[in-house]
Amino acid sequence: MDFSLTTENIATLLIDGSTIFLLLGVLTQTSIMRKRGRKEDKLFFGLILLTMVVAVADIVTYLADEKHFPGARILNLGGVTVFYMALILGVMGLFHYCVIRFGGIFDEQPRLERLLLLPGAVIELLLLINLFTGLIFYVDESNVYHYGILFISMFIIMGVYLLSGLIVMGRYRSKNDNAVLIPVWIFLLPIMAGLVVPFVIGGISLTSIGLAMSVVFIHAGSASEIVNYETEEKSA
Amino acid sequence: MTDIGYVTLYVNAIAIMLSIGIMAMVWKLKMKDALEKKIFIGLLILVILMGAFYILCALRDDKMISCSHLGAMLLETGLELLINAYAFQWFIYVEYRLYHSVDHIRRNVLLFSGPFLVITIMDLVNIFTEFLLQYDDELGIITETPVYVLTDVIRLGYFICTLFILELRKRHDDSLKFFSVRPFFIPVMIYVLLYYFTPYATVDLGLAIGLTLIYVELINEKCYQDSESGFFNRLYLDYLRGRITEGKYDLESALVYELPGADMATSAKLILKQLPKDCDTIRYGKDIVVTLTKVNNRGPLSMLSEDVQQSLDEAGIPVEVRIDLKKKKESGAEFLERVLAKG
Amino acid sequence: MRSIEIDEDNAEDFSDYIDEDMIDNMDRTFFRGIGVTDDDDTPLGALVFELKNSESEEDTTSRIHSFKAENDGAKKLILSEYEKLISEEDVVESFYELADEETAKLLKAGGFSFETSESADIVVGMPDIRRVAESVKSSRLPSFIGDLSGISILQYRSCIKNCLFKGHHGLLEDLAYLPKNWFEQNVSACSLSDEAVDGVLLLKKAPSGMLSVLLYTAFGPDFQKSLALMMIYTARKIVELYPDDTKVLIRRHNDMVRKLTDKVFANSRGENVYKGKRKEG
Repeated sequence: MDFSLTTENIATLLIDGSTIFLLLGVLTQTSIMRKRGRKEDKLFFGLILLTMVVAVADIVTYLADEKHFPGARILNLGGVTVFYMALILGVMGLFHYCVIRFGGIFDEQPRLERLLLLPGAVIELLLLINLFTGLIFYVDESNVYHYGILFISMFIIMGVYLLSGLIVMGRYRSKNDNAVLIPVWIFLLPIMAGLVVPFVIGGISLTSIGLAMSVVFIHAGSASEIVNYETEEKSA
Repeated sequence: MTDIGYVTLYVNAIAIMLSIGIMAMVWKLKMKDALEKKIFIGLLILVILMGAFYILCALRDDKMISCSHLGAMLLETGLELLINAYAFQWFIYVEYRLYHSVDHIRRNVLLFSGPFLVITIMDLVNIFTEFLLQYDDELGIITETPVYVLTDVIRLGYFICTLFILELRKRHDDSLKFFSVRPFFIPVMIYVLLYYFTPYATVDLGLAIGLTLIYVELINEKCYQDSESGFFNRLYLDYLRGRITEGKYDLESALVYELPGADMATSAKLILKQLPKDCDTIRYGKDIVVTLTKVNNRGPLSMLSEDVQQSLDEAGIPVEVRIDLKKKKESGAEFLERVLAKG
Repeated sequence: MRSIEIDEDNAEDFSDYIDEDMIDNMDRTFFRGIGVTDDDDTPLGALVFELKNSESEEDTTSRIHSFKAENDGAKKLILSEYEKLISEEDVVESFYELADEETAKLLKAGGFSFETSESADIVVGMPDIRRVAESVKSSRLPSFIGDLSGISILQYRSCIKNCLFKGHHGLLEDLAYLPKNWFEQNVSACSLSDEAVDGVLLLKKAPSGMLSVLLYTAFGPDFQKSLALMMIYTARKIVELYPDDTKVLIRRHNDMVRKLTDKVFANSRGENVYKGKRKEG
């Protein structure tokens, strides 16, 4: 049985392990925020859990990829499926976070948001079907992972959500003089780098840490903004 | 590039990216103390520079960049100086957060900076004497001499000191209840251990994660703040209620200020200037502010009330101030509810 | 005979029964005086007491500082008026510490307990002050230690508020009501940090010339250093500005002060006094 760790395995363990570690720390630190009872705080909690799932799935697939121990192929296939499902859900969640936090047209017309989230939901379904069809990705008999013909569609959909979130943030900023928002590139760059760099260079996966950084930056950044005065509200 | 260099590159690139992101956000963060913000940003800059130096050293070791023996020693010394500077600056950051006093740091500068200066001088002398670290040009390996332990001990000493002084100080100073260095320590210690037991330079990532968690801690404190006035908000009041009920907060008196129609931001600035250290001021209503104290005596409360009244009168802001003392047979929780009911 | 309330306006009239230092206290918030005069308004006796904890929900107590009267009738009238006054103030206990045995026995007859003991007050003379002043060889003290005349009223009030909210008021029940200029400006020391006062050593000069230490506290990050330096500063100022026969009164009102005075003024002892108390109400 082949359990030796390659350089990529070690790097992935370090990086994904760091993601989980960072997010565990952020999770414990933000318990106070969750007491505010705001929708975005609850969504943030969900996003952290999703990102941790991405990191764990990433570790599993990198450890199982190209290995030949019993169940390695199933682990690889299942792990990648979970990875992409959690990742896409996470990006959809990030977009939805922007909508509930910053309002805008999608907040005024919820049907528009639901329409936009539909392709993401379809991709999620396709990922489940992919276990049998291999259209998005597949794992061959040698337990090596390959891209499928519909692979790029995931990235297009994720790109659309990120861009939409960017537009929502940008419009909010232009309408609110007091907005002390994070620079938009902070929100986008980590997740874009995390998605694109492994795609272009190959090797180590930076997706989970990229997603984690984007999630932490946008939530912490927006929490530091001047918020509506809430003294009239009943406390949680 | 070797496997070690490859992993070092990625790990430190992530540390740099994380630190840049946090730095951009801290830059925009509104903090009461501008100097505290600057020191924290300084820590992030050091982490970024350390990451860059770790990468350069990895490239040097893998012969991806060519440099002379002196150049190699300079790179290594640069990294060592940055680590020293980080340990010292972290200590200064914690000292400053404890007391918010520049004079305190100035008066103790020799005591605080002494060990840092010693190891810095040692590192500079090492460039020419190699009595701490020796670089093998052919193999691309740094070897630590037994004397090097001293630098590690001093750096560790700075970090451990901060843990103790904060824990000791927290027993007497309630305002530090939200400040903990454990979120920083745990990742740093784990990544330092990883660095000692593996060939990978992971310290920088540990520092970046630690600082991220300290930043999240800073944001947490903001959750308890009313953004318009800078006073605490109702979420904080709920938190205090819990502490009062558990007997961890000896509430003895309260002042209630009613500011009908006043500009809260301006009024708050004037009130904050008059407040002593050992009290908690909460914006309870649109025009109502409550100061909770542990003193059961009208004298100090009258003094505070007079000062607040005078300060707001001079600014033309109408205010009514009411003083309430906890009765002997009343519990802290009962007293608080009685005060808030009237408000 | 009739009783009257003594205040700062008529206190001088009772100078045969109240010493000059005590007369100087009659304008203070918690000091009360009861005088007795005959039908011609000639003073026959006086009692001065100080209320403690009267502005808090804690039990109010009363300390009798002086009691002197011409005859038994005057004494009885004074004590009876005293009981009425303290009843109005909800005083639960009265106590005294007096050097005069006769007065102590008088109070004993009025229901007070009676015991002899060493006084909590010690009086320190110039030789000891000089020794403290010279304990640090350097002629210049750090610039963050100065006297009260160098700080503003705002800085003073801010410091006093911080002291009071930490529960530090020294011997002064009415610290919140005392203006900055009530204290001796040139010998009272303060410690500055970041333009705020974080430590004070406040003294008052009584009409008899006796200097009293009333508040000695510091709360900044370097409070131990500040406390030591303020003591030396004040000692040097006293040596510089006051004659050689000057005395300083220090009341060892808690264990910390006692430990400090035992260390710094090891040879000083309080005089023998008479103490007692009585439950009221």
